Amino acid sequence: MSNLIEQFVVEARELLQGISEQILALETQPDNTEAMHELFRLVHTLKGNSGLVEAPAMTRVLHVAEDLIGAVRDGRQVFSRELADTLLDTFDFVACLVDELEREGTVQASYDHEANRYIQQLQALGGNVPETEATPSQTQAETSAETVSIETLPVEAQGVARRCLQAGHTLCWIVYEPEADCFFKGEDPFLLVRQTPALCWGRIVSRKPWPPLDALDPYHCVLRFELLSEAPLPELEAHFRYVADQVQLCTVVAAQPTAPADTATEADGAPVQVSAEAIDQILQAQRAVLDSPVDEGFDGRLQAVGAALSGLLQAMGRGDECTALEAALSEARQVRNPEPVRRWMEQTFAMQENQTAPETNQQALPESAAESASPAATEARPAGQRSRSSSTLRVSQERIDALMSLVGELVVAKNGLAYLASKVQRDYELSELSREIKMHYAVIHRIAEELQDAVMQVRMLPFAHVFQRFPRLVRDLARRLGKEVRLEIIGEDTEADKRIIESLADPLIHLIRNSLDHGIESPEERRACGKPETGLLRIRTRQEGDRIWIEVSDDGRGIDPEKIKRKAYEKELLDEAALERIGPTEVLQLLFRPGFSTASSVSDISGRGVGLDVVKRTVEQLGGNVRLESEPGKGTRFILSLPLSMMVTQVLIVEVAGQLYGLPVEAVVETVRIAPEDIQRIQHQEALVLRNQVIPVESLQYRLNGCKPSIEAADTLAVVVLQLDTTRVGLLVDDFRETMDVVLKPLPGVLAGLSVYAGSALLGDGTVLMILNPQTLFASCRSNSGSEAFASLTM
Amino acid sequence: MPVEFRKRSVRLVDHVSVEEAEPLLSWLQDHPRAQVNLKDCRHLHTACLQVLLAAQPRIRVMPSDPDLRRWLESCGFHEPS
Repeated sequence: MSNLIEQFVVEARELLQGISEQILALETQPDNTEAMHELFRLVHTLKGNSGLVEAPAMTRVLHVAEDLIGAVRDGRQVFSRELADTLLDTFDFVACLVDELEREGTVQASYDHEANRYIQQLQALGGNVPETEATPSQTQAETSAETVSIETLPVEAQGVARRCLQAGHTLCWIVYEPEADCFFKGEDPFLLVRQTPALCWGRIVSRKPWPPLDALDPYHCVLRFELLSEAPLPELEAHFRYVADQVQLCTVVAAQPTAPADTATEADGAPVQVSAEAIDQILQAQRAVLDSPVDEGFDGRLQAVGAALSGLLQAMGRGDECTALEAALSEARQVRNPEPVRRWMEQTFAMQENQTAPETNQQALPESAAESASPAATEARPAGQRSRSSSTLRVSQERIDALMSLVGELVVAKNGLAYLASKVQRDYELSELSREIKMHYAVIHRIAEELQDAVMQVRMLPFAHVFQRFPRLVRDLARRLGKEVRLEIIGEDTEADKRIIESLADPLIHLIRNSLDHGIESPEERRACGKPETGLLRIRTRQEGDRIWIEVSDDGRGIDPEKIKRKAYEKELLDEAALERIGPTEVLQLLFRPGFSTASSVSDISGRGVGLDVVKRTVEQLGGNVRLESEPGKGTRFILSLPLSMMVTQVLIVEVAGQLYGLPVEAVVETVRIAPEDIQRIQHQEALVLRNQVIPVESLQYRLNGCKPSIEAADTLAVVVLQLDTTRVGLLVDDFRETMDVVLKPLPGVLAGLSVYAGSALLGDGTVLMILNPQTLFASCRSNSGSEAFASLTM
Repeated sequence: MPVEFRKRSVRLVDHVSVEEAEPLLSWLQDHPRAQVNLKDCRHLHTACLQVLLAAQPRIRVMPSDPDLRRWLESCGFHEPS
């Protein structure tokens, strides 16, 4: 796929998003003129961009849509709900075309038929304002002012023009001066000219005399095309739409006594009346630019001065003097001295200065003031353009990822220094050196932390990124289900890692569908319960420390725990004993089990039996967890908690049989040291009573290699209490070590199959730390320990 | 190849693209008396047209494409009579 298309696709998606937001905003407030203007601007931009890629169907549809929106903006059309529907449908179709473009690199002609359907729909809505009248009337008003008398045409053209006018045809005089660097933009002006509709005369002239061949730059366009065409003005405007700023279109009229003699200059130059004061200011500015020292920016400045001066000459109707200016410029370029240009300015504008000097005396005298102000004025435009183009940078994800893994390596290498410092102290007893290493370590540590923060910031995206499509989703779903729903989004500025934000989109959409479909009742039902007819769906995010909390809540009918219990029993997810024992909060978590769906009927919105378990799995893959709270009759609330970034994981290091392992800190509830006699045996299972709660205890060593350590021999036992879903499990280890920030690396190759490990990390001394995955560690525990008591407890 | 350089002439064929402008220019500089055969030329990129306009070489055969022929004639190119 070409770069252009790639960029277009990205921008088009952004524009489409903005368009749909504005349409939704207008639906609630049809007289929001600001949104209207914004909508028009977005559609206009998208239409313009679409002309750059091969998508004629898209451009056509957008053109009609733009007309319709323009009509609404100008008050010739009312913004109705139907209009919003049609527009949304249309832009969905455009989004399809964008997808197609991304896949295929072009939009097939097979879409033309569909495009026509949308165009007809749009035109039907704007029925009373036929499309042909909507825009050309405006453009005609703009351009009809420009007419050119037949006498001012070149002699060769006059005969043709007269014949055409006598035959009663409208005739258009076209002057096309391609930009000098147009070849670098892939343009072929001659081809465009040859394809001009209804061309009846044309000639090609050079804008300046040809230089000797060895000085000729073939890629610097100096041609001017002068054409006569019988095609209607709008058609010609469409033909030259991409080079509109380089083309002048004038309607040719028969000799008019009123036509002033100087229309000739109007035809090839801009007919602007330039005030003497303005000229003076421009000249002042150029002089100031020329006065700046000669350095590597000299050529660029000279070019800018040249452009400004030739523009000035054109504006003053003295375009013929450009040649002399060019000569002065090239001379200045050769000698790297602005003197020739300065001289030329003095000669050419001597008269103006004399005239204006008395008027602008006060301004002209303080040279320094003018000097300080004018470079700013001349540089303001290029500088502004530069800052706009560099304020955002599109960088591919791979590069950021590469940067991130480099930062990770730096963090590891940095930890090596701390290790080295203690080694120098311990083994060589060079405390001075050790201190210095530690000092350097502190500096590198600070920089590494900042670097890590900076890279994390780059990857941070606000939640608005995923939330922005929700208003549309909720609106469409609510209308389909015949429910009234108000969506409230709080905290869309909260930021999190790009990967987290992006992976959350699907789970959140599922939760929203779930709330709309199962949670919020129909308006009648709500009225019967004494609730307001419009249901409320609230999405709230907030950041707490290094974790993100997301809450999706509704004020619907809530979830009945009894119903869930029955369902779970029917589906054999619970046995009778568990049915009795299970608490209301735990019952709700059953909804996250695969294959569990309470919807009595399968709808296309939610309730396919897949869903909540996928939500849970996705969130857990991101290192988070999800909880469900519900109060029957009052509403339901999903609470998701996620790490802010996936770059650094905090682990608790534990020691087992001389080997170190890491446990993710978020799974650790507490660490306790107990006496061996505190461990009780319930059938085959060791357990521990901690603050009146029975916690099954499992030895990590047994889990990993199958040998049971003799617990009776030790004085104290170290137990890490882990939180697994709703239950707690104690993990018996030999000793605790410190907690540490590590960069988690997934296990490579065949090792990836070892689900007991979440990954590995490098320690400061170069050893590898294996990070355990508590979930799978105990899942394997359940499957092969054969301990029923434990299995039912952890359920 | 849209441009075939011979000993004393150059033959432009079909669509002469923008890339040919530079070689065409340098060839015309090296062969100031050369002739240009445009018989099978259907379009010249503007850059190449510019080169021809600047160099004003002798034309051996004008294009058989009537439209392009008209354009070149309006620029003052003619077949030797």
